Amino acid sequence: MKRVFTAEEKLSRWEDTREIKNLVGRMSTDYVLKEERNMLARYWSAREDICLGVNTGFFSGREAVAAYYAAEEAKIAAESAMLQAAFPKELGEKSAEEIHGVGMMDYKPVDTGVIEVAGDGKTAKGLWMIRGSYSKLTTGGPMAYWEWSWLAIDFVREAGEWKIWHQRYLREIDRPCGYSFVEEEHAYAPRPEFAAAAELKDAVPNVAVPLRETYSAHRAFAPSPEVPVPYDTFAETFSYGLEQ
Amino acid sequence: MVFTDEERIDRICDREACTQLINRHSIYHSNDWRRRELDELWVTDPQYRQTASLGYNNGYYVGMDAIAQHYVLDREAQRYEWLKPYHEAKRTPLCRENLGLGASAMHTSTTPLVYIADDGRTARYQGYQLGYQSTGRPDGTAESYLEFGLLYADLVREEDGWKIWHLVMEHDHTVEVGTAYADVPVRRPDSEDPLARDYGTPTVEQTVYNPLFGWEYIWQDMPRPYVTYDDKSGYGPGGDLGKPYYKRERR
Repeated sequence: MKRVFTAEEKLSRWEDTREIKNLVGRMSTDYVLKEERNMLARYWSAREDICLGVNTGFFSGREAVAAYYAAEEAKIAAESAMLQAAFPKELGEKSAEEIHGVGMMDYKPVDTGVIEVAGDGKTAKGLWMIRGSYSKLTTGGPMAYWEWSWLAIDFVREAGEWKIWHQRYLREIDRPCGYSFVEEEHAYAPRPEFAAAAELKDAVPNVAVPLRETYSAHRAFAPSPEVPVPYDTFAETFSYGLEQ
Repeated sequence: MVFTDEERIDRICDREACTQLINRHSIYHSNDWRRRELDELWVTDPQYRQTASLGYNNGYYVGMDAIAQHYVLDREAQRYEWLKPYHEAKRTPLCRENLGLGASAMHTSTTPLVYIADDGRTARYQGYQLGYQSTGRPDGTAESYLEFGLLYADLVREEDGWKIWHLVMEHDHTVEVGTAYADVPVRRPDSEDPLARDYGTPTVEQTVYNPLFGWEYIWQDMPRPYVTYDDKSGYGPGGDLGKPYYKRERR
């Protein structure tokens, strides 16, 4: 990128970077609040060619991304209902809205960000690390997990606001807290009130091209997604979307 | 010093560029893209290359040649050592493509504190690194550690942007993954810390950071607004970093 920017343009570009950081910060907070049901509308582009990559593949296209969030929301509702049944004294009288996401923490702080805004100001790219912790509902009850992940996003400017165009959210470590990164997963003894947790399923990508195998002692080394580099227009850089 | 609006905008952008430079270092470090890091992120001007330094708790590697020997070549040799058990157990070829088999690392950089010198030529950085590194074994187990430590850097403006001149990766402590925090020794000298192996034998051996007493020096060592670079308050081997308070002037 060889553009020379005026002081005003430099300031605008700095503000773009700040807005992108705030977008990712708000999205991170929405995971804590179990707001997956609103993420598509709040953070994503209105384009049809959006895509969300997870370890097992891509949810490609608006309909598929919407299906992903709908499946996440269904899981949250099912978990909340199970916890309500398990704790009738504390939760029994509460409405579905009041117990939404109860007891199931999902904390994904983002850091170590590298952000590049295109020279033409129409798109931007960012790469972050996540060192998070979350609760997974197992047949033995809620279990604390920690995760170390990569978050890579292409942004597009729409009506003056930055929106997510392509996102890769790739877990590198996804293991129960307090246990080895590689050995057999610890499990609590099954409890009847959580038997339905066996039915909880992750959404299945419509493009089943595995993007990342989580860490194991037999896996080949897997670096981060490519790091953003200065660029002028999106056509001259790489994409975190399906095209890569 | 009073800056014009244009200078203030430049300094805001410089601060962001410096933070992201260290973040790039953290990502490259996690990926073991060490040669690439030295080529892309570190100083290229000969006057800075000679005095560039990489510090650990036990001293500084000084000059880009010494830094490359330790950070790139010695590390590559270490990675070949980690590959050997796979070669012996599973006939995995001992070649560059297989380096990192069964390994993983993520080194974050958080909580940045950055000041640009009034003269705009250098910048000072402090951040905190929380990370892990894991090395696999052919039987499916792994040696995995969580690690914590402070980062310090002097950055310098070159023709094509900000570059790393002096970098210090201090190491506070190590927690073996799967070990209860309460079971980690409270007073573990560096000689018994499994990650102290990463320090090697620096060009200039001196105490840069002592985890037993380190925190009391942060007030002394943290970057502050400054006019121009000087060795004494810099983060290279000529600086005060890690010196007990009674061996330096109070700031």
